[in-house]
Amino acid sequence: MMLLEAKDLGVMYERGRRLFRRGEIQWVFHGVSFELESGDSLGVIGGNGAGKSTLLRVLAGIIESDEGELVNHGARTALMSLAGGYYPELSGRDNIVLGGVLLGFTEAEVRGHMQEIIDFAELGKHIDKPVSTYSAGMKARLNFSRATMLQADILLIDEVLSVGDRHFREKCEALMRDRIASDQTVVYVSHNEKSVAELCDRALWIDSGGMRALGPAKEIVEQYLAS
Amino acid sequence: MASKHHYYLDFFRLSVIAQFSRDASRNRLGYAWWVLEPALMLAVFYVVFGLILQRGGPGFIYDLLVGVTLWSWFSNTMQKSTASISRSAQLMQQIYIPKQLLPLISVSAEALKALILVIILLFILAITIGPSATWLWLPLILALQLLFGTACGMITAHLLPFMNDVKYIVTMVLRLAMFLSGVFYRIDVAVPEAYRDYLMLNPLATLIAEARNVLVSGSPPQLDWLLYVFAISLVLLIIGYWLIKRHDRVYPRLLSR
Repeated sequence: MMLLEAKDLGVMYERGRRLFRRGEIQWVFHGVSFELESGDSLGVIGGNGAGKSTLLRVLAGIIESDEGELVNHGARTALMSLAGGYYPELSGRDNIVLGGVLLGFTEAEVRGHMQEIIDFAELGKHIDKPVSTYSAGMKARLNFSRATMLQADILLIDEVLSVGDRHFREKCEALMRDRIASDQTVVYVSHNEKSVAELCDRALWIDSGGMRALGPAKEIVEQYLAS
Repeated sequence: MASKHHYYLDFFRLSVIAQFSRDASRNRLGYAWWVLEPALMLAVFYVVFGLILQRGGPGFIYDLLVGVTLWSWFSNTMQKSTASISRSAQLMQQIYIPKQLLPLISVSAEALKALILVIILLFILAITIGPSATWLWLPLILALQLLFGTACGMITAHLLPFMNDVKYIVTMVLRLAMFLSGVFYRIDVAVPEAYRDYLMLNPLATLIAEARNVLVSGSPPQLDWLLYVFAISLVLLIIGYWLIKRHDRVYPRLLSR
C-alpha cells in the first residue's frame, strides 16, 4: 500500500532578507522524489547540512516544501528527534499524553500504554518531574519510547540512536530491527552509514545540490563512502 | 477528516487542564495567586486613589472591584496568548498542530480563571449592594470581552515569532491601556466631556463602563457601544485567524533558528 509520495521536493532559506528587498536564496535540498510503501525502510544519508533533518520535517508535515509536492495517503507519521519533550515545563507524563493525542490516539489509549512507555524509557519516578530537569539521554529515551510504543504508520527517525548510554542504544537497535523486520515503515536519517546499510532496504543520498542517488541501501552506501 | 478534529479537541482539552495546573504548581501559594494578584492590585488602587489622593467618592470600591476584575482578565489573556505560539516551538518542531489552537488554549485557560474571579465579584456585590435585574446583561459583556481578548491575543501571538520585540511592545501597550481604560475611575465622571467618546473607542473602556452600569449602577447597557465592540472584535478575530492559518507551516521555521 502506498503511504507517501514525494515529488520534486525542495526547501530553501532566504538569507539577509530585508523588509522590501529579497535576500539571497539558498537551497537546503531540491528535486527530491521517492515513494514510500507500507513496510519500506528508507535510509537517508548525506553530509552535514545536506538537509536530512529538514526533509524529515517536511515528511512529517511540520514545514511546507517551497517546491514540489508531498502526497500523504492518510498515514500517521511520528518524528523522533533528539529534541525530546514538547513542553519543558510539563511533566514527562503530560508530555506523553499530549504527544500521543496529537499522533491520533485517544487519551485512554495513551494512558493504557503509559506504564509500558515509562518502563521502556527507564524513567521511573522521574516521569512526574518537569522535562526541563531531564538529561539529554533521558529526553531521548522519553521520545524514543513514546514514539515506538504508540505505533504510528510511519516512523521518522532522526539520529536518535546515537545518544543515550550503550545499554539503551543496544536496546533501541534491537527494537528497531524487530520493527523493521515486522513491517514497520521507517525513514531513517543517520550519519552512521553502516547502520543504514544494515537496517534499511533502500537508501536516499542527498546533498545541497539535490538528489544524488536512490536505490538498494548497500549499493548507495558504498557509493557514498567511495565519493 | 472527522477523526482528526476529534483528537485536536482532545489535545485542546488536555492542554487547557495542563496549563491550569502548571500555573498553580509553579508557585508556593499555588491557586491562591489567581485571587491574590487582583486583590493586591485592588488594594494598591484603593490606598493610592481612595485614601491618599481622596479621589474615590462613594461607591469607589465597587467600581474598582469591577474594573480590576475585567482588567486582570484581559491583561493575563494578552500575556499568555501572545507567548502561546513561541513557547510551543519545541512541540511544533516535532509534530504538526494547527497553530490557531495555541492562542485559543491560553485564552480558554485564562477565561476559566476569570470565571472564578467573576463569581467572587458577584458574591461580594450581592452581599453588599445587592443583586439587580440588570445583572442579566453581564454574560453578554463577558462574552464580548472573551471575543475581544481572543482577537487581540491571536494577532500578537502571530507577531511574536517574527519579532521578539513584540513582547515589550505588548507590555507597554497594556500599561498604557490600563490607565486609559478607566480601571480605577469612571470615564463618564472623571474625564472632560470633550474627550469621553474618544476614550470609549477603546473597546476595553467600553466593556468596563458597561459592566459598571449593569452591576453597580443597576442601569441597562448602551447597546450601540456594545455593538461597536462586537464589530471591532469580529474584524480583528478574522484578521488574526487568517494570519495564523496562512503562516501555519512557517512558524516552525522561524522558531527553529
